[in-house]
Amino acid sequence: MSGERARILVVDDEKVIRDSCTRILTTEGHIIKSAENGNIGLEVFREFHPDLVLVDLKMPGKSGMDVLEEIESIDPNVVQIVITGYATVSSAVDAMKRGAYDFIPKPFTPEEILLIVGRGLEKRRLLLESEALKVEHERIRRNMISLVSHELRAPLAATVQYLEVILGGMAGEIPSEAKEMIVRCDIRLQEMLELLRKWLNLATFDSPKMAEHFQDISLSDIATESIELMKSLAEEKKISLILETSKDLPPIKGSKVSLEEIFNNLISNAIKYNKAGGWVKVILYGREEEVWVEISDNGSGIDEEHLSRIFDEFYRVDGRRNAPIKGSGLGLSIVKKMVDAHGGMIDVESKFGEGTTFRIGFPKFFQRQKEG
Amino acid sequence: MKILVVDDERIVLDSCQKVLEADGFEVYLVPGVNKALQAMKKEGFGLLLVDIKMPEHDGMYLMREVKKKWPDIPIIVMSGYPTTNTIEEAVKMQAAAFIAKPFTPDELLEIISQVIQKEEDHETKQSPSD
Repeated sequence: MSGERARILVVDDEKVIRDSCTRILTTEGHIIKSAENGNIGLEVFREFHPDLVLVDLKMPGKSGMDVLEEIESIDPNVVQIVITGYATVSSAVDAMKRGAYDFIPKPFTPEEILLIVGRGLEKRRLLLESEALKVEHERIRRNMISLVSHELRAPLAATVQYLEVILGGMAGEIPSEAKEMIVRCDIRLQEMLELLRKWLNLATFDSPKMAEHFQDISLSDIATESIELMKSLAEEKKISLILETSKDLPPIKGSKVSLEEIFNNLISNAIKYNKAGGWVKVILYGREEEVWVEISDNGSGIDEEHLSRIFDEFYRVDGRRNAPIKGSGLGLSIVKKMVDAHGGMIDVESKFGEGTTFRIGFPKFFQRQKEG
Repeated sequence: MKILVVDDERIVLDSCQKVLEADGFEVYLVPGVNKALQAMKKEGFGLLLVDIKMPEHDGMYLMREVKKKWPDIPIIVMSGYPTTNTIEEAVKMQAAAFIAKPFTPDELLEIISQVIQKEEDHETKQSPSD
């Protein structure tokens, strides 16, 4: 934007200021329009779509502050510079709080206004670039979601669907050797589907939308169901599952599906990264304004160097491709995102070789703040 | 019982047919929402199995239409896109149950029997006051 022809609007009740701004800025090749009061200024603004606006703070009728605020609400990417006749720091600070980028005290020299306008136009260029990058990023994200869900997940799911029918014996007898091979294919494909499901869940997670469906949820019910679901996995690995919940545990406001996801992820991790004969303990208790969940195990633990990164997307403590325990590196990112959406907090304590404890605090009365 | 299965994926229709017919259900298959609505005008179905993501009209549209004209028919939503938001959406649309694709024959039969059982319990509860 700097060095290019820009559209600049000058709103000032003093004709001499409007004229001098127009003269100085026109010599730089910019297109200038001016208005003698706030109301006319806003009318011109809507038709002219300027890159930058120079606004006098003290005008009869609509004040400069009101003009600033209205322009900010119409298009926050327009750079606004305040012209102030009484160059007090407080009025300039106040104006900048309401969206102004900079201020110029009257009287000013041509060099001063050119310098400040030049900086403002550079800011405008950066704002437009960042806006374009955001749009591009969103477009790529949407395309990726569509590709993963329709071109990858859907055909994979359909293939597994057929395998399940074949394994169910509904397409005739299968020789046992072939059956074994199909089972292995099925397991590998299911793992891929789970990875895609987790990725899609993260990529499409919309917490304001989720908060619209919040209801009273009993965390001890969710914990009981999750433990029931994980029972066979725990039995397979000879791990005992223990639930301790304090009496009269108050409900929290939340999404049942997301809370199930949080518990399922943490409990299944605690089982997966554990040894035969180990335990996984889920403790629930209320304290002041929060309901606390502790999920601990006496499994392999996490080395300190990994702890700060375990909630990062695709981060795996055991990053080897042929690691003995398969994971997507997405489970804990999902957990973190969903805890955040409930206004909660999560932390982790772990000692390598001794075990891990995840602690989550959910507010009892969570009122989501409106976005923007 | 007559079950209508609505899905644009041939493999899913085929699999549902094999599983449900083996269990004694009468199965009707349609590849989209418009065909589903036509079929519903002709036949009385006891249950609908509906995919969400379909070209032209999606499963949510079909659910709204069905709830308007045949509010008592339970609908099981199938989705290959089982994200938290999709599930919440299906619950809001009063789906009787939700099943994530792919499912095993046992999972499908289990969820259908749960829904049928729930419907029967609901009817028994209502009948004494009739």
